[in-house]
Amino acid sequence: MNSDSLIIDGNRFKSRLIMGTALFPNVNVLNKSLGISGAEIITLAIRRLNLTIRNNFLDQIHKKYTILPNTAGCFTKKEAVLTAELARETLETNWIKLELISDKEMLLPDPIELYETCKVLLKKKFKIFAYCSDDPILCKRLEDLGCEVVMPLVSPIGSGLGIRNEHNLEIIRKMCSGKVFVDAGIGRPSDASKVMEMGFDGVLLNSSVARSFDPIKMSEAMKLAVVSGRIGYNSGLIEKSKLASNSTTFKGKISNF
Amino acid sequence: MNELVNIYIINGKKFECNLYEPRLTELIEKFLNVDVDTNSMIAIAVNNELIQRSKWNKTIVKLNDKIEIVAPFFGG
Repeated sequence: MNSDSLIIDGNRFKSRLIMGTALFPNVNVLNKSLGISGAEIITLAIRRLNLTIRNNFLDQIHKKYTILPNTAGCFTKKEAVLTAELARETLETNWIKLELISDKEMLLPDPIELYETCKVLLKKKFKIFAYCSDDPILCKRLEDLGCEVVMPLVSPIGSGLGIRNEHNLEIIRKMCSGKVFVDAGIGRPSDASKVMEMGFDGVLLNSSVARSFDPIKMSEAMKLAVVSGRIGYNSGLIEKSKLASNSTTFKGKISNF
Repeated sequence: MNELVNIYIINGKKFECNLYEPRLTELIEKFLNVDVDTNSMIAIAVNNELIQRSKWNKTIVKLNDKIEIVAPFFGG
């Protein structure tokens, strides 16, 4: 048994990488990418039934994953609550990745609408993965409210800008004792590794893999980055210092001349 | 009344059929052109309210009701 496994809602996971399923060039690449990523949880959306596509989405996914449906594209509490209920009815899961965005250009989360929607969905017994801005107080409030996982962005969705406010992330990690995943904005494997080194519980990503030149290899890179960052964090990183500290002793060195 | 064309709004578009205020299951089967069982991986809302699958066959749809039929799709 892996002693560092992740437990969410009573379920144990080995992988700390959650993968999105959008934007891949085709289903074959998606399946190979998901497989090599080692992810055990994948996200999907709820959309109007497309009568021209008879294949069930999940029938196209080869492996059995834990499904985390999202409310992507919702702007209001009403939209998000109904989408969450539709997701639960379709997929028979209480899990919901709650996304409530405030604008179409930056796709930034609306913190007020999000908080109010969380209150409604918690009463309806949902397990909420709250996608939110990187505001430490908001993250703490969402955790205190009872969200299963708090998921601050590191930069706007799909931007690939990576970590824009490391200080806020440090504060979030210090303030929130529960599960905190980083969601949105990861561009490179080093971004994923960095947040894992900071002690976050995991990473959710999609665009950085799906839109890369080689999504399958990038999935592997992200997997290794998350694992590497986690092992680094668990191993106890050394304190940073502005002064040098010799690793090789001066003792026994031949005399200065 | 059955001969008349009745209009329902399904997934944002007008759907015309000869069913007058049918049960939800009947209307969905007409729309999808397949038999719908309760294991279908879809969910349905009528006028922005979820209709649980156990109630599809008991729910009467009114003219101009707004029906949403959704399914899982690729998403991040």
